[in-house]
Amino acid sequence: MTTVTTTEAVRTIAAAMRAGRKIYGSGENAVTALRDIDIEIRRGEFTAIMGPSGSGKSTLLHTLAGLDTLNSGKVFLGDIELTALNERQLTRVRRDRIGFIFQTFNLVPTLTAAENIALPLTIARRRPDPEWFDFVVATLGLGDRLDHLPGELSGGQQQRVAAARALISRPEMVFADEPSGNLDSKAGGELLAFMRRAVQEFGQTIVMVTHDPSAAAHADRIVFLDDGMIVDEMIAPTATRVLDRMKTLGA
Amino acid sequence: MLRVALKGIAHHKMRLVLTAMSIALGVSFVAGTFIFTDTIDNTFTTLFTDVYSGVDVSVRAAKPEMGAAAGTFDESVLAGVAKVPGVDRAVPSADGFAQLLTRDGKPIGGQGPPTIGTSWSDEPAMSAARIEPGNGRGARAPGEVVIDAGTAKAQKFAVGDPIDIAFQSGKETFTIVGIVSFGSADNLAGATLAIFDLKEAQRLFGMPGKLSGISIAAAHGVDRTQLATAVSATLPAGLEAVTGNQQTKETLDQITTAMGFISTALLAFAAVAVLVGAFIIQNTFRITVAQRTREIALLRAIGASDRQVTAMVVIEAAVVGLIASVAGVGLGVLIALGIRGGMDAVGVGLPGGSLVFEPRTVLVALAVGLVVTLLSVVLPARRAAGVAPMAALRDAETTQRRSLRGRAIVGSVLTGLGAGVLALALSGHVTNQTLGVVAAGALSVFLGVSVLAAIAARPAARFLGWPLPKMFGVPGALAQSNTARTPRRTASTASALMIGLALVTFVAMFAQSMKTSVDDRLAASFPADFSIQSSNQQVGVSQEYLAKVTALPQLGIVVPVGMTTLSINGHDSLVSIIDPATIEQVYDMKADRRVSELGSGIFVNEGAIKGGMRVGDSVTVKGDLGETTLKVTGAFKDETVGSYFISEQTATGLVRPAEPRVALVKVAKGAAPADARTAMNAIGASFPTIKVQDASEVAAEVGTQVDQMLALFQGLLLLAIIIAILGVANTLALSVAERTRELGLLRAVGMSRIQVRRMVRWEAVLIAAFGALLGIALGISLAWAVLKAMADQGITTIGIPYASIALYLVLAGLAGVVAAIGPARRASRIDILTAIATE
Repeated sequence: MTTVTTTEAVRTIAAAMRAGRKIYGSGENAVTALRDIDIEIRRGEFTAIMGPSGSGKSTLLHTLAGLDTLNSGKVFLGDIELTALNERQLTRVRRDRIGFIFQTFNLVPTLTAAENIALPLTIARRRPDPEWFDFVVATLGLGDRLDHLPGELSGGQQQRVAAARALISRPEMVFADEPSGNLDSKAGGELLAFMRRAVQEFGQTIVMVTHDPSAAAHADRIVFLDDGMIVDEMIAPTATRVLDRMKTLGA
Repeated sequence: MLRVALKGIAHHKMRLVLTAMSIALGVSFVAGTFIFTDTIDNTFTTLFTDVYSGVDVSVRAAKPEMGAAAGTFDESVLAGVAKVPGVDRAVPSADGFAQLLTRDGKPIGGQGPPTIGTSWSDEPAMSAARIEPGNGRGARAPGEVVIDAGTAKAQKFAVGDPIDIAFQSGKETFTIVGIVSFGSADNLAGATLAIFDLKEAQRLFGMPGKLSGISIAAAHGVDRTQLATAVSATLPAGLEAVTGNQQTKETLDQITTAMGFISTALLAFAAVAVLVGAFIIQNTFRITVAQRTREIALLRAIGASDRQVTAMVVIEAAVVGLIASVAGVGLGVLIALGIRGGMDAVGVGLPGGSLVFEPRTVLVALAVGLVVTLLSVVLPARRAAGVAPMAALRDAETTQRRSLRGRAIVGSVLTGLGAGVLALALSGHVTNQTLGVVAAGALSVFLGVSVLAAIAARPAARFLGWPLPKMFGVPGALAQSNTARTPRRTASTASALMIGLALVTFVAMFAQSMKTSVDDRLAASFPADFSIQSSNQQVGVSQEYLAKVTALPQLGIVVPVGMTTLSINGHDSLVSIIDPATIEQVYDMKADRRVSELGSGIFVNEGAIKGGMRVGDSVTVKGDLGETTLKVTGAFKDETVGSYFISEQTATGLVRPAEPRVALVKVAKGAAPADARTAMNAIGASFPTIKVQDASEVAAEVGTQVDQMLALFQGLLLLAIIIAILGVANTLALSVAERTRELGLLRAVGMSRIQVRRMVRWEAVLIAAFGALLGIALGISLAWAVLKAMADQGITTIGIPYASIALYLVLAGLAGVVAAIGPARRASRIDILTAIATE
């Protein structure tokens, strides 16, 4: 593993974890979720994290995104060490530099689709760049749904609104936690295809946790996790190869 | 189901604690009122049973009145009474008015309990008054006085000290020779005592050679009742002999009547607090039922009947209600102590003594708490029963928007009904009996408006919250939309606050209008320059003083006005006794004819005319001395000086002559009012109880009294408002719990803790402001309606206390901020991970 010391590396590495260890509980009940993880997320790449239940994949995503803290080790987002930030600074990083797509409950029910999309910017009291806003909305096919409340949207539409929100502030990184987990295969496929386009067409970096091989197949690179450790990597995956690999992990 | 219900309670302790508190506070007020009145009752019973225990029979003028006006009789009666067989000892007494003065000449007491003057007897067995060793001796010579230990302690008087005492005849200086106490009590229910030698007392009270009463100790083995009959037989007409038991009973009856009024008033405030608490309970259970829709649906799906689900909610409510009521009874002790402390603070000294806990107190308080809680959950329980098993399978997050049309109908009907009742009750003459009907009408309006408030909640949130998005961005906008998204919840929470604020506004407006009306009336109806009154309400204006000031060259005319209670057509009414020849020079009663036409008839107020009396009618008037029929010879509008007027001649046959209550003064032509006042004050130096005031001072004094009442009422209403604030906190806490995931999401996408707190805080402020505005609007409308109806009772000008109302709004907003402290903190500390974690 190379160490991030050069400016070159900073330019190509979007995020990294160094010797990340996470333990839940204490004493006899202690569960080690991450065992000295080292990982680098390359800029402009779509990375998928896979693994069986309890492998620590969600914990890895949450700690990389600054939503959860490590017991030891360091997390970097670009040149910022997240593990050195306090709560207020972390909130600002999440607001300004990171986009999120969760599996469910992505949207504030009292805000319209347009308001939900602009939420990270309006929280920061900034206005979205109108061209970018229109572009994202058009790409996701949400043009005629902007004035609707989340309750009036289908599951697929809701997740696309969430994706638009994740991209609206042109974040350095988008973290997605099972984004298609609650969608049917058609809606899920559309969402993942859009995420793929975001990476290809405007160089967005995305890290996604999933247990669905066909979802993971949209990624450039898959990192396999088992029992809190990185056990394998796969570049340019296909669904079949992923499925085969997963079988050996006993998922 | 019992087990499911109990587990549910154990699982949501905090929310139930807040709910329980809202009912416990109301119950505590009920229990506190009972404990307080029982305690006072008990103390007085013990005290007066003790006071009269040594007296077997007493002789007195028939139909005694309180205070100095009590009838007297010649002291020759004593010798006859002493000779009646069975009389062991007969002790004469002379009672009257004696106002103790502080060292710098100020009256001691006199605002609440009486200031008693009486004569000393050296018969310890016949009196509860004791001079403990070291506290001197009885009064046996002119210039000597014995005072009560309460006054001695409070004013640091000791045996041997000089003390000034004011009588209706003027002020004199005495030497304290003894200090009395009553067992463990320092005084008689807060009264001040001045005890003189009999001859001295007779002189001081202006009754030389006369007595107020004779206390008789029966010889051994003689029956009290028989002795009383025997003594009565020897008494001249106008006198009677009653047993000690009879006297104790009469005194206690008087006290019970007075306390009954206080207790009724306190219970009315308790009812308000309980009503507000009911709103909170109903709201809490509605929210929790909604939040548990899935859980309830699951129970239904696995076979629980709708009745079992209802039972679960009802059992949960019953347990909460019971715990809250028990806590309320405990808190009631504190409330009772608080009421006693409060009364002490405003100068109504009440005897101490340990608190009395009647079983009735506990029963009533528990019943009130339980019944109110159970009634409050009727609707939520029905809602729970209506949950379909299918709801378990649906997404819990989708809140179905039910139509508010049912609300519109029910709310309009209740409001209309209440308004109708109010209109009907207020169309006639307003009496005390009207009050109950007005209260019922107001209650119906309150309920109706609280039902309708759900419809107004959404627009109100938009309107009241319009600056928030501009000022605070997303937190402001979300505060606004959160307030609007659950209109029923917002409306119930706001309604609880509405009730308290409506009543506070009502009393404030009432007070304001009373003050303004008095100002206006004094300006319009009083050509008089000064009014003379006694600062001690037991007595009227000293005749000696009046005689002296009438002689002053600076004064043009001094017009005394007497006041008495007469029964007019069977109703006790306050009647003023005037001199028709002079009254018009100092007072314009706005009569429909000259007052000189009063003659031997009676002038009645406009309200009585409205009530059906006509000029020319005959009315039956009954006083202590007799009964007669008077012709209504005129009607008048201004009731500042009285509601009925009769002449001094007419009064002679009805009541004993008494001192005037007030004397109105007009200065002589060319004399400066300031000079006249200086001259009156010079004479007044010997009459410390005399109060000379010009119109603005009278108005200011009335203003102060009105303000004191206002402060008292608002203090009592504060409890209802505190309960409402608890309700806001409770609703917010439940909403925050309900929105955990939403809050987590907001935090994840970059909302700071400060912004989250701000969001919850402004939601609270919006709810509070909504409730406050509804309350203020209702309070003003209600006050306006009642005041309009009372125009014939002297409230001629309706004033709106703008400054106070603005203050209430600000305070309500601040209360919202306070209510939001806990929920906002909890919201800001929500762990993002658990909030967004997938199930």
